[in-house]
Amino acid sequence: MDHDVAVMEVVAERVTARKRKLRLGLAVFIGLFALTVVEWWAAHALRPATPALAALALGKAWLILEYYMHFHQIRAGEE
Amino acid sequence: MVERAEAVRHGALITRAERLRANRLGLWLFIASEGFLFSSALAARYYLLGFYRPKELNQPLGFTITAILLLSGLFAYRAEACIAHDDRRGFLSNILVAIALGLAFLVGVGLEWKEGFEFFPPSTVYGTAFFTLTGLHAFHVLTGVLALGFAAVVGAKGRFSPENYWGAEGAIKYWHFVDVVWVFVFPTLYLVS
Repeated sequence: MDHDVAVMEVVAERVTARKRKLRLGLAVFIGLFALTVVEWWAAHALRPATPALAALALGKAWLILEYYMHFHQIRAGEE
Repeated sequence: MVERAEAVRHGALITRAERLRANRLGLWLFIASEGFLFSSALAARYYLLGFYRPKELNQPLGFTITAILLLSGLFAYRAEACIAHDDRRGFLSNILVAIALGLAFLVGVGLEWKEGFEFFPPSTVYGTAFFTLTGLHAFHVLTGVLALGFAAVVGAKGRFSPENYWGAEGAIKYWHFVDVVWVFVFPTLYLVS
């Protein structure tokens, strides 16, 4: 009985962790899409637009490297 | 230390964790070398043309395929999250959507090329930069699609587990790298002026 409860707790924990990860992924995608829209706006509204475009591209690249590619794993040496 | 002793007892030279760290470091070094390749191609575009951009360039199409590639990155991320939590069905469905979106991106590049040959052929300076950058990137998208497809097949056979899914992780990291490259190629070709 105790064993069943423990298994159910592990499964529930795993499902919660997965949901949290999926929500984070969606939030990052929304951020990336929003920055792309801002890029589009900057390219048409700002003169010169290049510094803003460069900053936005770096921001987008950081989001992907940090959250999608887990760059921190290398920095921290974690599994 | 216990893990290492266990690995040595089973005849392995390194532990699973050490192998995973080495795999990741190797992939990151490979990605860095690819980054230099794309950086030099981007630098060549600015060196040759400054901030020039032809009026005929199809910006809405560029924006659309950018959104498709970003969306594909989201599904690839979801696939990795699923396999890390032992959800094989979720892994398969998400990775297949990522592959389909990658192929849709390639179709978009094909449409771009059709217009490009008409308005700024490869014999022009802008055409050289445009076809080099998009061609090099599209080739990486194609290899990324193949890597994801391979990971999907291996995953379908049940060979990945939450403890060992490096094959999927490596392919998905590479796919995200292709995303990162496009993050710089898109404004360089379509937006700066």
